[in-house]
Amino acid sequence: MAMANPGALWLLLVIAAWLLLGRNQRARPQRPVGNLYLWSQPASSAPAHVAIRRIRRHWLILLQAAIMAALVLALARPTLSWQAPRVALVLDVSASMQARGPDGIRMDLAKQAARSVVESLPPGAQVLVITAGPVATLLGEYPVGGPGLQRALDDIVATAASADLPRAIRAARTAGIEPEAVYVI
Amino acid sequence: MLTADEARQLDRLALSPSRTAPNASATGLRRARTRGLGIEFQDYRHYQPGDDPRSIDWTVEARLQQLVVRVTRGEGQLRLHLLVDVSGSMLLGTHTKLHIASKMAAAQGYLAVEHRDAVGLATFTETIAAHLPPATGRPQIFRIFETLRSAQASGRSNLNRALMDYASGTRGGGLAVVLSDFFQPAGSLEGLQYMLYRGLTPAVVQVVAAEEIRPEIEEDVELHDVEEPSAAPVIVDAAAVATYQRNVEHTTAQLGEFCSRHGLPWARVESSVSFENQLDACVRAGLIGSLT
Repeated sequence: MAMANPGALWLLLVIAAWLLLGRNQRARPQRPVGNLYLWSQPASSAPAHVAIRRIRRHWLILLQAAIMAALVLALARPTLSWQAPRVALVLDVSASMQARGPDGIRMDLAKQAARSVVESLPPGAQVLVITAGPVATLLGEYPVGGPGLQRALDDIVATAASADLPRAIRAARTAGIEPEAVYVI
Repeated sequence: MLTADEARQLDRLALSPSRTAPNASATGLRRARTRGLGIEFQDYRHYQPGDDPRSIDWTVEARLQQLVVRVTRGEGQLRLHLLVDVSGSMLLGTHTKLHIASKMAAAQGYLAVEHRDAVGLATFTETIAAHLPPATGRPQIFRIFETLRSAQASGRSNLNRALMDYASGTRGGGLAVVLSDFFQPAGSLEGLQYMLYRGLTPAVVQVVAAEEIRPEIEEDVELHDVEEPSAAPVIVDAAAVATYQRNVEHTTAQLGEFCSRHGLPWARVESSVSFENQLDACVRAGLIGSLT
């Protein structure tokens, strides 16, 4: 989390001063007595009990301090930077992908697998689409759910050459920020 | 220590004879329980070798042909020991407990001196702090006043030890009036018992402050022991007052029970009451009696 206006955090010192002043103003009264043994109250003198009593006693000051702290935080304008996950899809587009198997054409099955991967990604994730033919081709980087990704997957066709998968995987890893995962289909 | 008005009030009072055990070997205005050399006739008895021939009643001898001696009541002197607690806790109270205890000690000393009794004073904390041995005569009362006036309340108290120290250093009996708050974790009964063993008759005057008996606590309060500043404070609230008062009553009841079992005078005096009420408490306890 970052602060757009971190200088406002100095106002927290005012809250600290407020707490100190309030504590002094509401200091527990002290009273001298001739003996303590007649007053013995082990349970209420236990540290936990004392802490609860202290909170109960200063609840109004604590509430005021909490409100002031919330205002100071609002003035500091906190921002959350969120990095969307980035994955790479490497699709084999060699000549063998044109073959038809019992379940259909391999290229179509590969696209279907790619869509399944995309569906499992969180919204906003970025998908790097690379085809592995004789050369690795970077088709582009698309957000999940966007029309570009769907279109890019639809436009992929198998070539009549072999595929250089290792090069395509290397290309996926070195294209910009390294992706969290590389799916080779 | 005493105003003229207070002295006038005391002139109508005397230390209660029923509580005293006068020493018949000394001369005073007090009637002794023992037979002695007084002039008030008490009884006749047969002459025995060693009897003073002057005590033989010759008129009886002339009538009955027997030697009979007159027995008279002895006139004795009380030895009054005043023991005043000057520990730190005696500083409590709107009118401090020490002030009231000093006042009551001064009053009883005054009564003793006025009736030619011997009176002594000791102040104590953990042990005896100052000591004036019993003596008669008006100069003694001024010495007592001066000692009481210069007493400073401070330090811890240890009643048992102080009473034992005093009793072990005292010869002869007498009435020992102990003025203290008697709030001690270890109690005070051992010390009082030891005084009885040593032939002293302890009389208990418990001086308490009103805020000790009826503490007003509405919210959390941090209590500090004036006699032990280094002790960890105790935080109490209004709910603790009832328990505290039960403890106070229990302590007081123990003291009262001890006194009634041994037939000792016992009075509880609040430091806020007037001098007249202080005397009333002593009268009710049988420590002081009216002359009329």
